[in-house]
Order: sequence, then C-alpha cells, then structure tokens
Amino acid sequence: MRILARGLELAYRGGPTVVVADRLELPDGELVSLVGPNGGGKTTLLRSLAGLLPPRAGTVTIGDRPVYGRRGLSRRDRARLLSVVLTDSVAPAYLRVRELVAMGRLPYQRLVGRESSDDRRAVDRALAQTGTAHLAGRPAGRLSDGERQRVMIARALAQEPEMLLLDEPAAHLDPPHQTALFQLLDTLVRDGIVSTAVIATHHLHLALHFSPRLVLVAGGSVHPGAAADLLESGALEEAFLRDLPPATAAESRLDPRRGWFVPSG
Amino acid sequence: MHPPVPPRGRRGPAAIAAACAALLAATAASLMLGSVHVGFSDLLAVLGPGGGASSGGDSVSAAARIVTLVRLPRTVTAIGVGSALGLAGLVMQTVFRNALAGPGVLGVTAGAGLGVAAVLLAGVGASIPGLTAVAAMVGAGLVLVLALTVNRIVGQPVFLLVLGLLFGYAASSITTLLMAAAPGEGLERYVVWSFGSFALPPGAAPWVILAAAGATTAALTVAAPRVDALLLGPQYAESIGIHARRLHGTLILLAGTLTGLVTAFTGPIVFLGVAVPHIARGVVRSSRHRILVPMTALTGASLALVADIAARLPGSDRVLPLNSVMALVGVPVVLAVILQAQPEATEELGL
Repeated sequence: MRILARGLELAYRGGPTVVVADRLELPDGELVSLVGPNGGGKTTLLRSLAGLLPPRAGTVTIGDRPVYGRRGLSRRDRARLLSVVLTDSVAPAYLRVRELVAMGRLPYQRLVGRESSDDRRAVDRALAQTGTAHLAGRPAGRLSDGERQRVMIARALAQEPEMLLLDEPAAHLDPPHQTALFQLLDTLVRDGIVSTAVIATHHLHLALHFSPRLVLVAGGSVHPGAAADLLESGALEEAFLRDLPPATAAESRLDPRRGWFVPSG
Repeated sequence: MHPPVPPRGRRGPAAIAAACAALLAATAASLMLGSVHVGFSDLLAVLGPGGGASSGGDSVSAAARIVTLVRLPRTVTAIGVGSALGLAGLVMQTVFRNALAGPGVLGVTAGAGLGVAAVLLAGVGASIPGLTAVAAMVGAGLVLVLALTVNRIVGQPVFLLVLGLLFGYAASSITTLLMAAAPGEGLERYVVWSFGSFALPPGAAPWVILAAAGATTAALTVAAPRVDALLLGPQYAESIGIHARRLHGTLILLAGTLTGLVTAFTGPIVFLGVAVPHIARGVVRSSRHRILVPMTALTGASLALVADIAARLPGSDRVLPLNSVMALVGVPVVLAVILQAQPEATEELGL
C-alpha cells in the first residue's frame, strides 16, 4: 500500500510549523530513507506518517484511507497497518522478550486480550524473521543494543503491518550491526513481509546503498528524490552543510561514493 | 555484555494461592488478636450461622460484641484500604513509569489533608459526624479535577508529577498555617487523624472501601493488556492502538478516587501504596498487570492487616500510630525485595 502525504504542515502543540511537505509519496516495495541534518524534521515527519502526530494542515493517506480526521482510520485499524520502532528506551522490570514482542498483538485482541493461536504464531514468526527466537526467554532489559533493536523490530512485525517506520534504529550500533540492521530491513521489504519500510537515519552511506529513493528533510522542508539525483545536484551536501559555521562548511564535502563527509581538498 | 544467565522462573498461580492463604491467616489473626484475645473456636462461633448476627440485646457475648462491633469493621477496612492503596500505587507507577510514584504523587492525599484540616481546625468537624470524611473527599476531588484538567491540556505525565509535588507542598503549607492559628482541640484531632487508623465504626464505610477495591481489582485485571501497553510509554502505546492520554486520564481518575476515598476515612496512609507494588512485582517476577493487579491487591490487604495488628499491641490497651507502624513494617520488606530481586528489577528501579 502506498502512503501519500499532501499539503502537510506539522507542528507541536501551540508551537510554530516545523515541517512542510507539499506532496510526498512512498511507494510499495522499497526501503525509503529519511535523511537530513539534526533538527531538520525527520522525526516529526516520521511520527506524522506513522499516525502519531496529527498534522496542522494537510492529509496523510495509506492506500485509499485517510490516516487522520473524522473519516480517518480508527486507532486499532491504524495499528494493523502501521507500526513503529522509536528511540524511546523500553525496559519494564521483569518483562521478557517474548512478552514484549507479544504486545504487538494488542490491535488483534478483544478487550480481555487472551493470546490466540494466531497471536502465538505471529509472535513466533516475528521472532524468527528478526533472528531473535533464541532471545525469547531473556529479560528485555538484558539485551545488547543490537539485540534490542532486532527485538523492537520483532515487536513491530508482530503487528503484521503494511508499513514499518523506524526512527534512528541504528543510532547506538557498531558499524557491522548498522549494516546488518539495514540488511534485515531490506530483506523484510524484499520478502514482502512489510510492503514498505521507512527509516529516519544519519547513516548516509547505508541510506545511499540500500535506498534507491531518499527523502531529504532539512530546514523543515521535504525533498523526495532519487538518491543519484540528490547527490548529483548537490542538494544533499548543501542541506547538511547549511547549518555548519561557514568556515567549517567550506572545509567539508560529501564524498559521493562513500557517503561520508570528508575534509575538502 | 550481559551474561546469558537463565532468568528465574515465574511464580504466577502458586504466588496468588500463597497470597490468598496469607490473607486468610492475617484476617483470622486480625479478628482474634487485640487487647482481648478471642479464641479461634469462639471466632467461628461468632461468625458462623446463628452467631453474632442473630444475637440481640443483652445475650450478646463479650467476644461476639468485640468481633462484630470493633474488629470486623476494622479488619474489613484494613483489607479494603490495603488493596486500594496498593492498586493506586501500582497504577501511578505504571502511568508515570516511575518506581517511586505512589497514591500521594498527585497531591491527592495532601488535598484530603487540607480538607480535613480546614474543618477540624475551624472547630466544626467535631460537631457534625462524617464531616471530616466529606471535607477530605472534597479536598482530594479538587486536586484530582485539577490534575485531570492539566492532563487534558498538556498530556505530559511528567508535568503532572511536578504539579502534584508542588500542590502537595502548597497544601501542606496551608495546613501548617491553619494548625498554627487553630484552637487546641481541633489541632489535636487533626494530629490524631494524620496518624492514620483503620478503627472505623460499624456501618457502610468499611464495606464501601472493600467493594471499591474489589471492583478496581476486577476492572484492572480485565483491562490488563491495555494497561501493560503503557509500560512502553505513550508513543508506543498509541502505536498499538491505545488512546494513551485517555487511558492515563481514566487510570489517574481511578487511582485518585481510591486514594481520596481511603484517605478520607482512615487518614494519610501513603507508604503502603508505594511499597506494595514492589513487593508484588518481586514475588511474581512479572510486570504484567494480569497477574500483578490481583497480587498487589492481596499483598496490600495482608500488609495492612499485619501493620494494624502490630499497631494494636495485642494484649495491651495501647495503640500506636498506624502510619509509623506501616512504615516500620514495610521498609524492611521492600528493602529485602529490592535486594533479592536485583538483576531483573534494576532497570525500573534505576539502581
């Protein structure tokens, strides 16, 4: 299911508008990376696409259904289509990995919330798809950073969503784990386990490698485009360097092959 | 980083069964022990068919009189208050995701205290029975309405915590001012109220408290999976279909009402509410509300009974302030639970 945002104006309660997006379309079957400098609005945009931040103006639709508004999806229906991995730390005392993952089944349960055999199968599948089945009995607070992110992805997959949205999931991981995380997401999309994955990330080199299409979010505006175009036009480089002191910016450039900022000259 | 130590097993149903047995034993002890000892066979005779209920007038035995008029209401009150405060504490800890949250965290207890102080220190409380309870409920209710309004407008639980703290200080200060200006008799009555006591006269109040605690236990146990979702924080809760702010509001209303109700009748016995959820969590080794809610209610009831029996100093005519006894009984228990539970519970306790 494609997701489409139109005329979007995003703001926090009572505050100024922080992100504007005229038209943003996220097609099926892709791992889409949201990239851009700190404070540019990636998290805000991601939260709004995930159904967690009603826009001040504009619409977000998934398939042909609006996410917000009076005719929008109910919370439960939304939770069956969209699931998230956030930066919030989560480790309630005594909670086991399997229990944490099983919380993703809530949108499928009635008020009393007994786990059905469907629920158990979905949880097993999510654990298997993320390679975390061996962690099922571990306390959720006793995981390495890499394990925890996989478990949080398993929790999101237990919701059996169409679209997975992740905010900086690779932030605390070492380089091989960063790559492994992108590979996992890439596999989930390729295998059709989710139709789209959207990842807000600072790992430009991985974004360039795994995402044919990027969404550049900088200074509160949104520029979707093919990765190659954004690189070639210099838009990507300029967006990141704009916030730096001019003297520093003058001495940095984006190495298009490596996706790293390196000293110029 | 973390050695793969297999976590210790759960103790769900067995723990609940043990807690039920403990509660029964504590209930029996509470009915038997006091300034006058009532034997177990006498107790059965009084409570059994044709016992206390049917006896009228002068034929009522001393034991029956003591049990039905004094100890039964007191025991029912202790059970109700213990579970209610335990549940209120658990709910607050879940809503605020803070191990040190408790029933008093919103300033509800301080609000109740201010209400009581206002009527007692003005010298009117003594003349009208039940007025202190009404004043306490009005005080608690006002604080609660304020908290819920802020929750509606701001929707940030942390903000509520700070507000509750500030309001607690303000209410205590006003109470102190009233005490400084008050006539002697009112002051003494206020101090006695602040000691806390389960010694309610026979009547509806003990049973109302017990019913409120029972209904809350049932409701929270049914709604447990949705309440569990709040453990992940409001954003994750929303993402799995929970209306987080509304659920926060409902739970705050529930916990605040329970706290206001029991404080109005039995005084500010807040320690119990902070301690009991920790004990329950440590015993069942779970954060899931389906098991934690009944365990908390049972543990709170037992702990309240034990503290109350201790405060009575069985065999003597003296009575200790319940609040102090509660803390002295509870602190070592909580410490033991925290120290024993170490590896799995530490994240939440921030140790």
